[in-house]
Amino acid sequence: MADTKASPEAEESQASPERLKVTIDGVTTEVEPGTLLIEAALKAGKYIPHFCWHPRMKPVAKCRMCLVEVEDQRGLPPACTTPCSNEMVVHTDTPIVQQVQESVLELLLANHPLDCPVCDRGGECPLQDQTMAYGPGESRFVEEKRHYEKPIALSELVLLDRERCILCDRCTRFADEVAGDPLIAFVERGNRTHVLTFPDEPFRSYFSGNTIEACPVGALTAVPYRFKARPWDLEEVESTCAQCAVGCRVKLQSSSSRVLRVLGVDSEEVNQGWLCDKGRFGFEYLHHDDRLTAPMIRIDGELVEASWGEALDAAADGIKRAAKEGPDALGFLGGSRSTTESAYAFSKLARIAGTNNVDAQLGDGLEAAFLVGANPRASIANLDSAAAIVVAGPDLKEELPVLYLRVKQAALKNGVPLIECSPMQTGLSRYAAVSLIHRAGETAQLLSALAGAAQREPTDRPPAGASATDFQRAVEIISEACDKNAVVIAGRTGLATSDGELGASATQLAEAIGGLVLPVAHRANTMGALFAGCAPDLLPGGSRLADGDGGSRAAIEKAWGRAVPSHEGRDASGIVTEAARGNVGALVLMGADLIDDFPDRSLGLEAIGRTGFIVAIDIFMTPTAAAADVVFPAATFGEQSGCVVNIEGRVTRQVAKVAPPGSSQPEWYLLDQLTSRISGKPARWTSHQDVFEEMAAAAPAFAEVTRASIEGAKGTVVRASDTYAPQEIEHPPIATDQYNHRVIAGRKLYGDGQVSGRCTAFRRIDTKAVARLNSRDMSRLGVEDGVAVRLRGARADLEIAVMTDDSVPEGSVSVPFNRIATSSGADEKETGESALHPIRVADLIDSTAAVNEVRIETLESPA
Amino acid sequence: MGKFSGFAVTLRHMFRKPVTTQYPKEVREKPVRFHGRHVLNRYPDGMEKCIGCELCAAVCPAKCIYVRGKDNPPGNPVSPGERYGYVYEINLLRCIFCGLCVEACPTTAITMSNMFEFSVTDRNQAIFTKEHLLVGEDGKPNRKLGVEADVTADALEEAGGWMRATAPGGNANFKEEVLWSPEAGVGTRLPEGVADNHPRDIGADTRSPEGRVEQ
Repeated sequence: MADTKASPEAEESQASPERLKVTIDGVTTEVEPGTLLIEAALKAGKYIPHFCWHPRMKPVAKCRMCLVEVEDQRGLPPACTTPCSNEMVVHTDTPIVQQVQESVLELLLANHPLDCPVCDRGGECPLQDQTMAYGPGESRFVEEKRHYEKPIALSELVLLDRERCILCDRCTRFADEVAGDPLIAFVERGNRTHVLTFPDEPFRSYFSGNTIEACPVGALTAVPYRFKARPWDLEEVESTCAQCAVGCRVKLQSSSSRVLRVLGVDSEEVNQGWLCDKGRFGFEYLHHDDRLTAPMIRIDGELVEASWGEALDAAADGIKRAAKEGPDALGFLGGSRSTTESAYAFSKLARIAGTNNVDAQLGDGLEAAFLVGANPRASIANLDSAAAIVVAGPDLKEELPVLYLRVKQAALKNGVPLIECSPMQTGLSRYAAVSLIHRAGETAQLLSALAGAAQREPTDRPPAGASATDFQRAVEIISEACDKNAVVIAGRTGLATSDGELGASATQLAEAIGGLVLPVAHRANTMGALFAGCAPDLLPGGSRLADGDGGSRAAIEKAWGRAVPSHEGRDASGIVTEAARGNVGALVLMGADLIDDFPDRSLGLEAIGRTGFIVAIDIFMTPTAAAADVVFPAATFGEQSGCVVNIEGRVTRQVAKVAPPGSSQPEWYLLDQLTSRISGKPARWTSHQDVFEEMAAAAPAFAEVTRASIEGAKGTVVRASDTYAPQEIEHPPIATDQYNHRVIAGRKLYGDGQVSGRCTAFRRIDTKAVARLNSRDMSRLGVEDGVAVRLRGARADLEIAVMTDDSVPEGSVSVPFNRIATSSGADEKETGESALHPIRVADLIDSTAAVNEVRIETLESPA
Repeated sequence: MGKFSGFAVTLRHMFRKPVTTQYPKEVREKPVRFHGRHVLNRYPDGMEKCIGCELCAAVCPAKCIYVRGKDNPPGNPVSPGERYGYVYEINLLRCIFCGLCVEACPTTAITMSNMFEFSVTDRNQAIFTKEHLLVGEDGKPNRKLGVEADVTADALEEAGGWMRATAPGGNANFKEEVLWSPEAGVGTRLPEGVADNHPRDIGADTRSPEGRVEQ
């Protein structure tokens, strides 16, 4: 990094033998050996026209647009595949090069339909631009052009117009090289060559949208953006994606106050330009008619629209009434979907109201202290050069797709050995050196055993049912990688298992091998909310509440002018369990849905039913909001500015682009009003920057974070004031019953949730839930694919179709958490009637148990 | 004498024919390149020429045009090709009648007529939508009732949406030549390689509208 920052003069003077001197159109520059001519030209400030070359993919020299003249070399080599050599002299604008460029463009345009006026790419098309800049001006081609049916759907999200295609190979290379889903390829030969999917296999990649962005013409277009706008209509801001905790940098483009398109920004630290399709196309919920537009209060059992003043008074009264009964009569849940500023306001409100019962996670993550305080913490970029990567967490492909791309790239391109510790095979299994498939819920034991083995503690038999040979192989790999920056990625493996000691075991393993930890979380700003203090044992800045007389606590009390309660707070599971017992007087839920988004649905329903007073701050009338006493409409992604923190601890900015619907407000605003009503002091904030400044002043971890330092893609990485130091780990024994199947409840990328269920783009994608079983279990049960079975769980029974999937080990059953499980439930959703209680996988789960098991029963065959 | 020479000019003019026409009783013939209000044209078969490409809106110096395109409905296409102008609005209060939209239009969908007689009592009335701008099936412009002057059928004929002042080469007699259309650009063959083994349910284009391709 230091090299790139050095001034050009400094580079000139330190002409070391390893660096090559290249002269391009009279400009001399020095480059590393192996640099391609086209990259060297960019460095020298010379643009060489190209179509097929992409900085993040292997060069193929297919388009022939980048031909240049190299002195003392015969012919015209393509700049994208020619490595620089010392004292090379290159010309990019000689008459012969210009003639070649004209010819290449004339030939490319011979078959190009020139329907630019209707093409979605028209106006931002590299082919248009380069034809204007380097083209011959007119065509001599008067014959008939090549014809194809246009457009054809490659998948539910991507359309292909083969007439426009210039066969640059970018999309096919991306699918193969980067995404690892080689589902599109060139077919036929010669003039009739075109891109197509394989028969009966659509281009159903989670990363398909990137091919649209990479396409240098309008051959690939997006279904959600089709004919929505033209490039000159769009205004854009750079922001951070709010779909998962990777925090990819995006360009948010809108026209007439409607978000119309999301594009990736090439940020070396985070997403390298790629986005998953959920991030790219999952914005349509912003403009859905179901958005809440006005505050509501419950009068005579009915939710009715109210003014902001009335609603704020009602909410404050309810919270104050409950607060009189002591700190445990209050519960504050949520914040991980909001900006860090709003989460800070939420954490502050909880503390001002007199409780530490605040949690940003909904009992579906790992320990807060681990997530913010993991030390030494890895960055995403560390994965590229890690000595080994241990993944012990969710299926990254489903939950954090762009992190999956980075891990996959490290394993495949950089040869980093990958150890996967997962209850079933995941998207990464293909690239893993070892897949330690083990019993769900016992990942922590496995990590501890690995840590022990790395420290030469003999293990006779690997725990959790992992294979001994695989375990041995994994131990060899991590011993090899000791003290060489191996990375342990740790996250909740599923929602049916509590994974209680996973954070501690991951830290233990990282310590044992001298590596780094990268904790992962599910919701976009979980880390930000935890850093803002939305956890029972944390204060803003990630400092431990229990440390008591530490400086951070004093700073916060000074900033707030109020003592921070010192009782031991409850986390989400604790709050909901107490609420289900009827011990909680008031619940404040910010973007937290206890019915559809909490692992234990029956407990969530019970808690909602027995809590006297509920305030819901949300963007949709979720089942939980529908049961609340006061509902506030919130502004969300793209509608409010603020900062977010990703899994690395990187703080970047989210920027408002469109107006929120109705009178929706950013959460920090209404929370400030509530705080003022509860504390009796005037509201203090007029913009998110005021909140940010107060937070930065109060939280030592944010002391170095300034408004300027979080501008841009790089942002600033924060570290918690208190690092995580696990206690001695004790793994409680987990009993297994051989007649039962252990439940693996992971999330799928496309679900039926409040947000993705409201994105038109995803509605065409099949999101039917099926239970996946190993083929041996299937034959033992005597059922075939598609047959419905009954899963008898601790909490409820669930009828669900089964499917053979050998990536699930014997004795386990995999069910998607975020999809509606029964067909009757799905029908209800379509007809719009009582979507309140369709049966979900969460009905099955008992979140208080370490693992969940079900007994599978076949249904009587219909007579 | 000097003081009377000025009166000579006055006297001379007293015997001239006045240039004033008694509008609206007398209607002066408008020049062929007159920039009146816009019309959106149709092909002889009734299809709309506008493809919703927004080039008119992009070039408009007064930013008075708002266009949004949409996929042609497969069974009943509005225009030839994939896309049609779904929303088309011109705010004639903002319009400076420069005619750049006409020049920018790749399909000669928008041209200027010689209709100029409109007055509004409410600013919203000055926004002409597709309903008013689009010529009828017979090629005659529609009149926006209550805003545009009552004119005879002949006058409407006169006002027809022919390409006028900004015809290629400046020829005022230019009549109706398609500059860009699926026919002009890509010939008349049916698409090749229409195989049935790929997904095509989104298929905006399994149709073959009359007049667009020869069957």
